[in-house]
Amino acid sequence: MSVPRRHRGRQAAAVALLALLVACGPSDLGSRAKAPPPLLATEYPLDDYGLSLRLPAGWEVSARPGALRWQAVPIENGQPVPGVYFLIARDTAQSVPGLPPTPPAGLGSFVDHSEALARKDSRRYQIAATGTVALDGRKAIWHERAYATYTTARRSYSVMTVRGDHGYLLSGSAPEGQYRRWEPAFRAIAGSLRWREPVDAAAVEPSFDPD
Amino acid sequence: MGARSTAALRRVASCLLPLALLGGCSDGEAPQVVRFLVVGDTGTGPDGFQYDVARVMEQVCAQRGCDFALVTGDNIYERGVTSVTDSQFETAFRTPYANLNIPFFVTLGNHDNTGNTAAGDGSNNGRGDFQVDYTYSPGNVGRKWNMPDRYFGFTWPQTATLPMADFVSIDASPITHYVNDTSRQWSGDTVATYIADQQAFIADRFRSSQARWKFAFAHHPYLSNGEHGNAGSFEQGTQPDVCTIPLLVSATCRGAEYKAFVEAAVCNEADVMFSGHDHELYWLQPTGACGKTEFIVSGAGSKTRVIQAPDRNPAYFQVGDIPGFFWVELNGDTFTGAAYTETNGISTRVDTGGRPLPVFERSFRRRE
Repeated sequence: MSVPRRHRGRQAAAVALLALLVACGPSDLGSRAKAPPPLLATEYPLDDYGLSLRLPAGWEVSARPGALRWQAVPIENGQPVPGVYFLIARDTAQSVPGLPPTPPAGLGSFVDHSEALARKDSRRYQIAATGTVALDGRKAIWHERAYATYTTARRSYSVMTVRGDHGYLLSGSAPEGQYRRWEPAFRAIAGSLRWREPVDAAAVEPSFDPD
Repeated sequence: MGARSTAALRRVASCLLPLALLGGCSDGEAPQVVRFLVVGDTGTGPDGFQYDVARVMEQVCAQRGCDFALVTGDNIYERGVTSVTDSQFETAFRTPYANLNIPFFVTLGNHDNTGNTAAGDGSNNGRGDFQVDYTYSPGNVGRKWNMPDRYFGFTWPQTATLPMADFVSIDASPITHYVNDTSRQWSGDTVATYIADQQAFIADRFRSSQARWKFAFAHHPYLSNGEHGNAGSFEQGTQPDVCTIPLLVSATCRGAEYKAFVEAAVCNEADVMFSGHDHELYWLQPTGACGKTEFIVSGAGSKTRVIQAPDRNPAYFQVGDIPGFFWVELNGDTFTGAAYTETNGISTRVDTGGRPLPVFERSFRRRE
């Protein structure tokens, strides 16, 4: 479609404005969350995972075993909020001593496998929403998962990515009725991830453009 | 026959009804009295002391009354079961407890989740799933075996709107084990999510519970004066120290993450945490890090071992090298626990009528 010369300047301004909005907006345009809470300036180094995170005010680290998971929980009235957590874990199956390494073939296979296992383990499991997001330059896929543990309906914001030989899961989870309240915090914590070592050139995906 | 014995018999009789196995023995209101057995590490079948212990359990239930039993794990030695029709469900559960017509609420132990390498290594959680599935199988006649999920909760009476007691069963083995389960389902991000969800479930359930009493039961202890020891320091007393065996041993072997798990989800919420794993009987005092919670270790249901470090944790009672179990009564705000031991199917202590007498009994009032 041709554009009259007198309108071309207006069109260029509109395109520029749109580009500015996109550039200044959240990296995850698929988000339905409210504005995320402010994050603490303090970075939490997670040496075992080779990354760091920041937490919102009022959150505390509750588990740092160096083995299975790193976990943070929100604190209200001096007590952890029951049933709400944010965890980071790494697929360690490929690094078991004595066994040959079996790194994930890629992000797609890692997500597919995690998805299949979560579906197998959980009751009433479904993916309510999905999209892509950038984690400090690495492409990641997020799922909003609705599921149930023994008797509790839950919902999680789960982000999966692959770096080097490892798959990473970042997951904020809350009882179903509380999820929307905590979702902005989950997204903010995940978005604060910074790799502590430079991403090797081969792993960089320069063309990645989050949706 | 005294009024107490008559009431106990009436209660046992009412529990013979199949419906009672599912719904408890009440008409919907919480009774003032609930009684149950706590027995663990039972699963030897006829090769261990299981059948002899069961005879004394029958006698105590006939004498004092039992609504149900808690089983604190290692339900099937040495490597769990391989299907819901595994014959060990008969030899190590249905046959020894055939005369105990009460529901058994069962938690998973490390031996129930073993099947890849050495016995008890905890490296095959898939085997534990068969014990869950057995709950729903036709072979589970009368729904006597109750493990509705790998971790679960139940109230007693189950039909009461305001139950007397709330119980949660912890699936401890994925949190602390000797050898990593290398299956993708039980490693890395999936097991981490499983543990976090389990912790959230338990903490949420306890904090929202309206029951008068709250209890946790698990296989692995938080405190123990036995060979396995305290969570966070598991196996430091074993020779050789199994947590230092190269290549095979998991980073969770000492139980540091399990200790943190219990402190976050159970401590100062549960009135008592029941466990097994060590094959002795202990009733250990509360410790500062865990608030009001008391600890009963009942792991002598078919195997025995000597007490390794009697001064490791202050104890109200401890006995080793003899099979036995605990019997518990909740009467309003009073908890009474009694330990029974046996030799050749006969209670170590008996009254003049030959009926079992406990080797220890203690009561305490519920603390807020």
